[in-house]
Formats: sequence, structure tokens, C-alpha cells
Amino acid sequence: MIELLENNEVILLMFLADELPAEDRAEVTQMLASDAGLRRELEQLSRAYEESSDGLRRLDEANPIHAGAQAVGVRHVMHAIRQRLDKPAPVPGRVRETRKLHYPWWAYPAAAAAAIFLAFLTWWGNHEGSAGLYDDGPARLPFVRNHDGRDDGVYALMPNDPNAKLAEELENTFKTHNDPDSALLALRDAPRMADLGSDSDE
Amino acid sequence: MLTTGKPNSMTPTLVPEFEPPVRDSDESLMKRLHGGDADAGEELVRRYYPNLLRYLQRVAGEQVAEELLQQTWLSVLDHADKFEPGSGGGGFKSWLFRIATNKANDHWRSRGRDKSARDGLRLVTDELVPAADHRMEASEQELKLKRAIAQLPESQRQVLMLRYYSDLKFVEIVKIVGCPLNTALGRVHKAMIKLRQLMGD
Repeated sequence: MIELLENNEVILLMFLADELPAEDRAEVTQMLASDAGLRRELEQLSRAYEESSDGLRRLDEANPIHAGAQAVGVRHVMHAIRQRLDKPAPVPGRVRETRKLHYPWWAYPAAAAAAIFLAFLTWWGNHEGSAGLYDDGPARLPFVRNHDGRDDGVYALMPNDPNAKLAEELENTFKTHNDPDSALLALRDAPRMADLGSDSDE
Repeated sequence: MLTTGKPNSMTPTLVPEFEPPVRDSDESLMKRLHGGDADAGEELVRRYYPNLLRYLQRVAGEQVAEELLQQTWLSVLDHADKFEPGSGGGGFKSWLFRIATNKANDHWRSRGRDKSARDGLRLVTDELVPAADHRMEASEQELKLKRAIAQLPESQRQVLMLRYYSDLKFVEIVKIVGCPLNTALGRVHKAMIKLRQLMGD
């Protein structure tokens, strides 16, 4: 072995640790007997070895592991070991148990399809070209009623129609006059009747 | 050894001679632990608790030593089928300290060298509060030694602590740390010289 060791330091360290084979040990002993420098090196190394060992021993003695602390420590480790023994770690390659689904399997694609359909309807409703889908045209508001409640006609009143105010006036006029003829006469004299008449003719 | 206790009796009973109880080998306890015998595991844990804890305290820090010790034993249990006492691996003790060293290395790597170095220094200062009845001289010596250990390079500290706390041979230690024998011996030599120098400052 000695020929594998690089220098005197490691040879002497192995000599000190008593890990050299008998033949090598004898050879080193001979070298030491004849080489004062090597002996000095061995003494220094031996002192360093003892000092570091003594230092560690003193450090451990200054901070001893008390019996109680050791018992608690062992108990902690054993608790973990017993848990592991009761419930062995998963073996690689073992088929993993599939997780149970909260709902039936078909509920998930059905929900996805419903969500897509709703999204499509929303898009379609907001699309410019689809205005007619829900649009039934302008509201048709009856405003001319006979005194017996029958409708004589309807007027298609668009939202924000400029004639809405005029139509309201017309209806109020009919309401305030019990006689339709007198109401018509009153309307004829009204300043904007001509406008209403022209719209109605159209 | 067993022998007959009462030679004159008609039915001789067997009583043990006065000799220390036979201590189970680590390997047989390990085999029983692998078979699910928790008591065998407890005997092993108890047997190695002080030295393994001290080793982990010195190489990874006191704050994480207990956690790493537990991880080490769980790893022993998980890989019990890989333990082969007769394969020249140095026996159970060598295998145990190899696992502990790997755990310490994993911890070291996961936290980053700089952070660990800072923690190491902080750890040293945290532990410097001496007990009331300690002599100041002793605590100063402890402080010096702890600082000196903390200042050692990780590789040197690891080999030195392995040697001291596991009492394994150098040829077994090199299998744990995975370096050539000359390198391991060189590290121990440098660590000892440096410790001596630092303690003398």
C-alpha cells in the first residue's frame, strides 16, 4: 500500500491510524529510525491529531447529550420509523390508485359543451349582424282609442321618436274631451296638428 | 453458554453462567428491522444516536441535525433491501454514515454554500452563551474551537468528523466521501493543521 501513498504526510497519517499492513508498517518504522526529520514530522502530526481529537472531546463534554434528551430524540425517530413500517412507502412501478371523481364522468364533457354553447349565444347576441335575431322592430304603441275602448289605429312609435310628445298631447286631448268631434275640432286648431297630419298620411 | 445449575436434582434445570448478554450485531438488527421489527430498529437508533447526532451537528449545524438524523433513519428503512453486509461495503456503520453524509450534502446543496456559511457562523455565535457555572476560560476555548471548526472547508471538516465520530478506517471513509485515499488523507492532515493554527491564534 505504501507505494500508493503520495507523500510522507499521508504515510505517517496511515501509520498513526495503524492502518498500514504489517510489512509497510515495518518499513516505516525503519525509515523513522534512520530519519530524524521524519521523526519530527511524525511528532508534529501526532500532536495535531491529539489536539484536534481532544478539542472535539472537550466540545462534546461541554455540551453533553443528556439521557432525557437522547430518549426524546430516539422516541421521535422511532415514531417516524413506526409510522413508515405501518404505512410503507410507495413502491416505484406500483399502479397508482385513480382518484375518485366528484361527479359522474359524463357531467364534465356535458358542462364543457354547455359552457361553449352559452359562450356562442352570448357572442351571437352581441354580434352586429345578428341584430334581427331578438329585434321585433319598433314598439307599436296604440295611442288613439275611441271612447268605447276600441283601437282605431296604431302608431308605430320608435324610441326617441320626435313625435312622441305630440302623440302624448293628442292622447291627452282625447281624454279631456268626452266628445270625439269636439276633440278633433280642438286638435285641428292646435298649432302642430298639421305636422301630425302630415306624418299620419305617410 | 448454558450449563446445569443444580447437579443433584433429578431434573436438572438450565441456568446461564455469569457472562454479559450477547449483543446483537448491527447487521442482524438491520435484518430484523427490514422484516418489520421496530424493536430492533430502536436498538440500532439508540446505539448510534449520540455519535450520529454529533456528526450531523458538526457538518450540517445543530439546528438541522435532529431533522437530518430522522431523515437518515427513514432512508435506512426505505433502502434496507439494498444493504448487503457481506459485499465489502464496510458493514452497517459505514452504510449508515454514508447515508447521513448524503443527507448532510443534500442539505448543504439545497441551502447554497454562501447561506450555509453564513448560518454556520451564526450558529457558532448562537451557541456561545456559556452556562452560568462554566469557567470563562473554558467557554473561550470552546468558542475558539467552534470558530475554528466552522472555518474549515466543508470537505476537510467532513472527513475529519467522519474519522472522529464514526471511528471508521480511512479506507472505509474514502468510500463514503467518494474520493481517492490520498485526497482524504490530505484533507484530514490539512484540517488538523488548520485547527491547531486557528486555535492557537
